Amino acid sequence: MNFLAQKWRLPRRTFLKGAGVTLGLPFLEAMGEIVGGAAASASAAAPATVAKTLRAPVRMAALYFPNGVWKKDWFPKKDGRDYEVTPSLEPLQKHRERMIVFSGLNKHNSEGGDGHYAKTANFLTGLPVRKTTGKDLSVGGISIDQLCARDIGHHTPLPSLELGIDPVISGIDTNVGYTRLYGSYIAWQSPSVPVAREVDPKAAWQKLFGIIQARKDKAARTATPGDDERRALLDLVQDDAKSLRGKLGRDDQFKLDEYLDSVREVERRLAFFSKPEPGEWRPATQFDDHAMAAPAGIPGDHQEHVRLMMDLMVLAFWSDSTRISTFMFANDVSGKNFSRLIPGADGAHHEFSHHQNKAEKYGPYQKINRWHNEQYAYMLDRMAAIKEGEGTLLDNSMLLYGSSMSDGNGHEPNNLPILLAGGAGGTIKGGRHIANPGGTPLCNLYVSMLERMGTDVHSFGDSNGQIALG
Amino acid sequence: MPVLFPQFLHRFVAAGFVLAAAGVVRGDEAKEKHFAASIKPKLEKHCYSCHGPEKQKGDLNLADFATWESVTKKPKVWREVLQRVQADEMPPEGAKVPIDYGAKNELMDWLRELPKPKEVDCNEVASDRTENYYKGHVMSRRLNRDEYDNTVRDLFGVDVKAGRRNLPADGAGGEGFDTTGDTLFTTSLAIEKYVDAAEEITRSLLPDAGTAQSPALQAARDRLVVARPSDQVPAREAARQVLARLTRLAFRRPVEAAEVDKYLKLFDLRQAKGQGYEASLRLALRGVLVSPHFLFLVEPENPAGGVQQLPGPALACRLSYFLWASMPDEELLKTAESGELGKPEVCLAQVRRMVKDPRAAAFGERFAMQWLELEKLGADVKPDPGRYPEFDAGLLAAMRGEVTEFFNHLVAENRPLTDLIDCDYSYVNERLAGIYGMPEVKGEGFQRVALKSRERGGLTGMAGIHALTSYPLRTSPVLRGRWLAEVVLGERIPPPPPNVPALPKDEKQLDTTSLREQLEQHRKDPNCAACHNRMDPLGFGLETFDVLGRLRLEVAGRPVDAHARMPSGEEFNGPEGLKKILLARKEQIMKHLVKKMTGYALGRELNHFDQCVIKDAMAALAKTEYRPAALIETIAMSKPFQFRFYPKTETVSTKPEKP
Repeated sequence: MNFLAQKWRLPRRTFLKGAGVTLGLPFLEAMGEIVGGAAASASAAAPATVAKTLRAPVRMAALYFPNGVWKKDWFPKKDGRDYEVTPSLEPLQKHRERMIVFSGLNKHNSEGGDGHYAKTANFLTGLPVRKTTGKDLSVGGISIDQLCARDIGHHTPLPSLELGIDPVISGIDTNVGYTRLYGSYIAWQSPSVPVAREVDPKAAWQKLFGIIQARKDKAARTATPGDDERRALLDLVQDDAKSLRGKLGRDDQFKLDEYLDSVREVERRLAFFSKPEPGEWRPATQFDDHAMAAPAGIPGDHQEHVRLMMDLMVLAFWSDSTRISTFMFANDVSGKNFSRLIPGADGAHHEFSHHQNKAEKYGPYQKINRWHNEQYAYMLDRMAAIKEGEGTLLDNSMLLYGSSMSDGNGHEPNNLPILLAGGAGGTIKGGRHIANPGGTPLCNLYVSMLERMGTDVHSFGDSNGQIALG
Repeated sequence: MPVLFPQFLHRFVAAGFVLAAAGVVRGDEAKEKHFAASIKPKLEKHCYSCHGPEKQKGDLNLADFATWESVTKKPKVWREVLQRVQADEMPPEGAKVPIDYGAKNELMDWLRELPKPKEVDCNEVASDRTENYYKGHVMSRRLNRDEYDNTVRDLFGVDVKAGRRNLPADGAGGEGFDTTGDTLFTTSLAIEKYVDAAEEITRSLLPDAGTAQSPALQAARDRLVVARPSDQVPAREAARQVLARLTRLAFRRPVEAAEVDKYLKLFDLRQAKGQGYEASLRLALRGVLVSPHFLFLVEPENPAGGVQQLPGPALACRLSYFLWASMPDEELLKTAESGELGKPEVCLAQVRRMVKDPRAAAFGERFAMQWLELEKLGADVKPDPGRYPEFDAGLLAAMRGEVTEFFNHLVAENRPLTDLIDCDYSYVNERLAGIYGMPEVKGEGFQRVALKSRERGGLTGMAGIHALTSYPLRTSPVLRGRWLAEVVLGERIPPPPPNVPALPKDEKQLDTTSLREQLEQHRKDPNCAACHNRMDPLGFGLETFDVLGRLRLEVAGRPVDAHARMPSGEEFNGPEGLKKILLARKEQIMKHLVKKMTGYALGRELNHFDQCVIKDAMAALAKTEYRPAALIETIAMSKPFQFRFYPKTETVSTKPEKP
């Protein structure tokens, strides 16, 4: 137990070992065994249930990368099971059977608007983005992750977990007359309110650790000391906000509503641990507090940072702290320089994406695409190595991955590069390229995903049907 | 119903007036004819290829204007057209069909005679009815992260910077500042962090017995705990006194006894558990620091409706968060509570007092850093660490520090703002002196230095600007030109089209042709010339500075060539010449600065009523040789700053009233 507990140092390991190091599978397989072994102690903590007989819940993640793809090396030509391996998708071939490659998925509502902001802000809403420099933000609707969080978020301490790499970009892009905020968020709790995301691995880790700790404390006694105080404090400020709200005009009331909703959410989390958890499924492992070392902060290396955040998503899913998560590799229009990670990619990501069909530009552009896929493969590795019930964490999850435009050179909002990995509890059949007829809304895929998350939603965004994933 | 009728009638009358006016527009017929016969063909010939049915560069389609009448409907668009044609920027150099002198003059004469955009009534502010309601008022908003830290500092008299350690970063909106309510969101994560930050602050102020405290924190604790339980004073009464004093300051307004009672309940909770006086107080203080009354700058509705001056406490907050990025002090709060602050002479006296206060350093630290985009340096923009190992946290701080110090000295000493364009002094510390070649400057602190080199002096000579406007491995006349055009001159440069040829990323890769030659090649394409003619020449003037702002004689083995020719035909050489070019445009530069500062002060996007503030500020600046006091005072005393529109018809609460 101790040996394995010590091994569960994902954040620190990745942090210490530096760029390019993939954690070895043997380590994870060993952990998988422990997971099985720990089931006994887990069921001791919750004597009413036996983990084995329960079905693990489906988890959903959406991972976004900016600036589109070099299409020639991304999309396979052949439809169906025999699709050929393309250079950009090659790093994902070890997960071929667990993954679907999509082509022909469109986001019609991004056909107008500017090149980036009108495409990224609605990546997960599928509805039109209002052109504005800040006032009256609108991405048309709620994003799929937040819709799920609203419907099934009450099952977990965190309704959803939002992670990213870049801090929110400030200011207006005066070139196009959009607020840069639009390029910084894909998760929207309402058409006008984005969900803040954590970019500091340490802070995200603390959040998860707090939950894991609270679960443990709960097993020991009914409430943590100070809970009553926190609740009293939050009640008081909520009261203040309500009375203050009544004195304000309509726009300002909306600002106070943000505050009120947020306080309620924090209270909800507190309340979550003050009563029995809904549902009977429990993660079959003890997350030993001594075993999980906190990351020191934001690492200087981009790949380390990305992998730390992915580790944290995996931990969040595995520990059932949340079942819904989103991640942004970077803000849109990212000019990140990959020269340290990719030899020859000496320049800004966004500049390379405007490749004009010149090899000296699309070469590095494609390599940057491929690098992103390698990181995605890393996350799939991690999840495939964690045993859960009869299968793995990956078998019980579905991870949407893609960009908000197709060819970055022309800012195409159609034929988006989209991948979906994981089995969603045995309801998704991988190993295929699904070439959709032109004009199929991306939102059709979202409807199919929402169904698997157990939400009662039959249409979403501009959907006009579903995509058969089984 | 009776309300609707007059409005309806009003519209009816207005429509009748238009009909009547239509009968006597014979003059317009001539204008229509002139437009159709002589102007429209010129637009078709010289403009449509980029701004017509096929292409709409800069979102402009001149084919939308089929008649003279349609032209008169969009005076702002045509004013912009006039400005660009007048500046010889349009049609661009190398256009397929060159425009001859006569045709251009005729076009300009016609443009100059178009109806001007309507002047606004400066006694108004934007309101529901003027369609600008949504952009017209400062909305209630929460404090941004820096304001939070400053407010905590001034509330307790000790700078703990708990916000910077705990709270997530804020985005910016409006005119590009994080004082914009639209883009200051509150999330559950933020709430948790506010609770954490409050915990940290109250623990450092009121630690458990036996915990060591710095003298500064001890002093802060003594100021905070104005009463302690004694034989005469019960604990609850002492706590009430502490909270009554603190809530008034923290909420920046008079506080009723019932409100204080609410926070006392948190005190009671811990007392009931048998905890000590200070430990109990700590929880109540945490409540105060998480309360929306503390975290939000709110401007309650006025039931009278219409355009009204802000009540004292709200005005005091607008002033203090503009001038200090922090809470009002006792004097300002007292003046506000006495009802005197609404008097112009009293208010002006407060503004003058506040600008002299050290807290006005927020101008340099918050306004100037955001305006000049220097927040990006070290974050989004970094010199390559391999090539420029000197660029570390110390040098970054020195680069930003020079600009902050310089700006703050302008404000504190009321030096002409044109010193930003050119002057013979700056503020330098040892790290920066290493870059500037001033071995006599020692230490971390900034000191005023007289500049002998004409290359330095003003923003264009500051290393932070040079680093901000470079690529990691080379300088960029384009980036520097873009920065000068947009950030300093306030022009709008459209984004590059998708088909831009690549330039080498590293100056070491410039072998056969220089960067200048490549850029000149680039500008032969009229598609590129339109914008690059506005950027590149400005940027070439700064070629004498390397990525870190050091003076250089060579770039990639060739002598530096900092000679340039503006689209207007003006030629200049190097930073000194560039500064002359900029000084010739000082009105434009000052106007942009005025707009930026107004946007920062109001915390929103500007609307056309704000033109009045800009006009007034420009007049005040012209009278005082561009002294910052004139600008700051004009903004602080302006109608949009002091007044707001209160919707009348809207009920105060959207929630049903209690039975």
